[in-house]
Amino acid sequence: MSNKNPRNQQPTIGEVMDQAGVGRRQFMKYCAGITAMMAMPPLSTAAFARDLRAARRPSVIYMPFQECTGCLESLTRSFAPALENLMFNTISLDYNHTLQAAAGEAAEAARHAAMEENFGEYVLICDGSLPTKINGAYGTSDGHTFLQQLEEAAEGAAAIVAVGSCAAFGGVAAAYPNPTGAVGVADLVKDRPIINVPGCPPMPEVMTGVLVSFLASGVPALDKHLRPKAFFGDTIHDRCYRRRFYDRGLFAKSFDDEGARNGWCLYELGCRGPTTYNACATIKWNGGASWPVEAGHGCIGCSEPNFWDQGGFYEPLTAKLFKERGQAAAAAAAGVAVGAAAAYGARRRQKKLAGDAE
Amino acid sequence: MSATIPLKVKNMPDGGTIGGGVKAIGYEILSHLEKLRSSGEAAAIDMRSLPMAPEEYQGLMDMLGQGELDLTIEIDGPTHVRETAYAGVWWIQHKDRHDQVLSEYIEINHVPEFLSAQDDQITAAIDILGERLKGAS
Amino acid sequence: MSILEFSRGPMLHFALIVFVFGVLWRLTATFLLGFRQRRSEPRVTKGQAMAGGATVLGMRSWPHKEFIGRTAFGEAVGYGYHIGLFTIVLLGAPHVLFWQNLFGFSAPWWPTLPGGLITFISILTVMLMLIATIRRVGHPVLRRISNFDDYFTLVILYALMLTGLMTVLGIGGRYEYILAAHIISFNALLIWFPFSKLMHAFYIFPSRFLNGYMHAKKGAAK
Repeated sequence: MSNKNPRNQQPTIGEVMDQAGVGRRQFMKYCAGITAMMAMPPLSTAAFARDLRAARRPSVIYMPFQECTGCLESLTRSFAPALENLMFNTISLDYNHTLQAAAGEAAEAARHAAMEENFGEYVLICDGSLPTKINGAYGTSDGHTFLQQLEEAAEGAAAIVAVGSCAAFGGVAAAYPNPTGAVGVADLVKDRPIINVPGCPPMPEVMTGVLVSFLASGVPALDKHLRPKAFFGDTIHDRCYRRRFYDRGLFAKSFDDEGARNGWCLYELGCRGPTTYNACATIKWNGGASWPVEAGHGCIGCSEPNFWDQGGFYEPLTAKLFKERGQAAAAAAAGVAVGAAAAYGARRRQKKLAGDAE
Repeated sequence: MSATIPLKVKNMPDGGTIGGGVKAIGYEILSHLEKLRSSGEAAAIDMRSLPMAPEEYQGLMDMLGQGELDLTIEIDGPTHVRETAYAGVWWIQHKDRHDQVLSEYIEINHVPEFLSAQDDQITAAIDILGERLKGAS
Repeated sequence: MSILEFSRGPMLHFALIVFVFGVLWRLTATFLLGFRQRRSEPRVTKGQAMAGGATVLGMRSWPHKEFIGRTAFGEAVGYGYHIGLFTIVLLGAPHVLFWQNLFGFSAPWWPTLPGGLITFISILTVMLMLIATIRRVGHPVLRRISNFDDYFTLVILYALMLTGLMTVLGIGGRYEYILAAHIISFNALLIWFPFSKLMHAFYIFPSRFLNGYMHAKKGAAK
């Protein structure tokens, strides 16, 4: 990141690392974890490390809106890079009212100071959806609505990272009937680069990886939902270790049948893998320990827009395609009636013609 | 290194049973090796991007075997750099202090990138050594 | 609503209703037309006439001895891609799931073939369809009895086959779009079906049987 703002006294990450006595290979190792995770060619690690060292340690403002703190819980469980590493070495986390010691007016003052000092260069992380009904009155903090807070914070942000499905797409608050009129950040802010990192919660390594890669190489390639392609480029299904069973037509029919015990495909039990783009199948959760499908439960598609309103989690993707049996019966009856009428008409014509001929 | 001096291979795989998925990776490694020899172009295969069952992973490890070098470097957690039974094919695994795998990849290169010194570091080293020599006049 | 949701939601719904309505309309209309009164004395018993019908049904489904040299290839190709289509639709795992979900029943006994084999059969089927199309265009008689109906059906069928293959092979774009295109092609087939020559699926065997039955009754069968 360039140093356009004369008030920005942030050191480069390289300087911070040198000061902390982080060796070059230790840093390379840290970068190797990130590049591997982002599916960058492993040999690009050296270049990535060089760019990251040259980047200025950015100020990060973490704003919570209509959220449950699940995303932050997930973030604190990032193994590679670990959040504490990230916080101490790579970023300057200037505001997060759950993690910071300061509270109340002191915290708000710190936020405003950081925003002013780093205007145009800080990274804004948004967590939670934004209620829009009754002028945003459903969500307020420090006497301001979330809408006002977002508008103010977005103005000086170099980029906005929307963590979690709520900040990205509205999430659970936006589920039917969406009483608060909840929307995602990208629905409101149109003039800043926005990176969506959806998931309920998002994968911790994806959140930290996106931050670090943003520092090294700016806004990554995004898909149509503004998700980084490096993490959201493949479906769960395509990367699933159970895919071979799908291809062979071997499906678990219940959660404790022979198929489930043999690790067969969970498609018929409602797995959303084929239509869900996320990195769970490769990065896995809890430091690579496991992930939902490995634990025997289908994917619920939590990184996709409106995933709450896509039918029951235990209904197959294609379930209930045709529920209106009454309508089908009516169509059948109508078909028979029209057919009979047509036949009747034809016979009458036939008879008339026969009569004329005689 | 002369071709007449054989590399000491500690565990050469017998090649008896190589599963389908593992075989595909094997061919990918082979093509990278051929490219390394003809044009010097190095490559790497990220292990975590390959969806593998535990037995397939073991199958791959068995196929790669163990070559002459097997290094464990302690850098904020262990890093394993292992030469496989095939010269130029390296298996590299970075772990953190809690023994969690940070990254794992197969690198097809003369020397793993991770071990070689980087240009900016060498530039810094020239300055430092120059200063030292001047100061020690 | 995404295009995929639309294709397998309202559009599929509409297509199925059109299909049911249209097929029943045409079948009812045809069968209620009745038969012309035959004034000639029946030459055989009703049972014998039925047997005659069955014989013709079988005979017409196989190349005639006399013309085998000329027709065997065309019939083999025709049989080939029909069998291919039915195998894919009835034994391909995603299709079996689709039928079960569509009609809301569970059938663990329903066998499926491995995905790789289905893909292979699909490619083979597309190739046979290509041969049949080339033959239709190139053969002077076939060309004359072909019209928009035949070609439009082929267009839908190709779209269906190619999008299906693309879905499985992961080419041509994002999975949900290709899948949506596949389902939309299927919907188009359902809507087009009752009003096209595709109705041969329902007419072909009864008409062959009736032909044989009538001839036997008149004593015209050999």
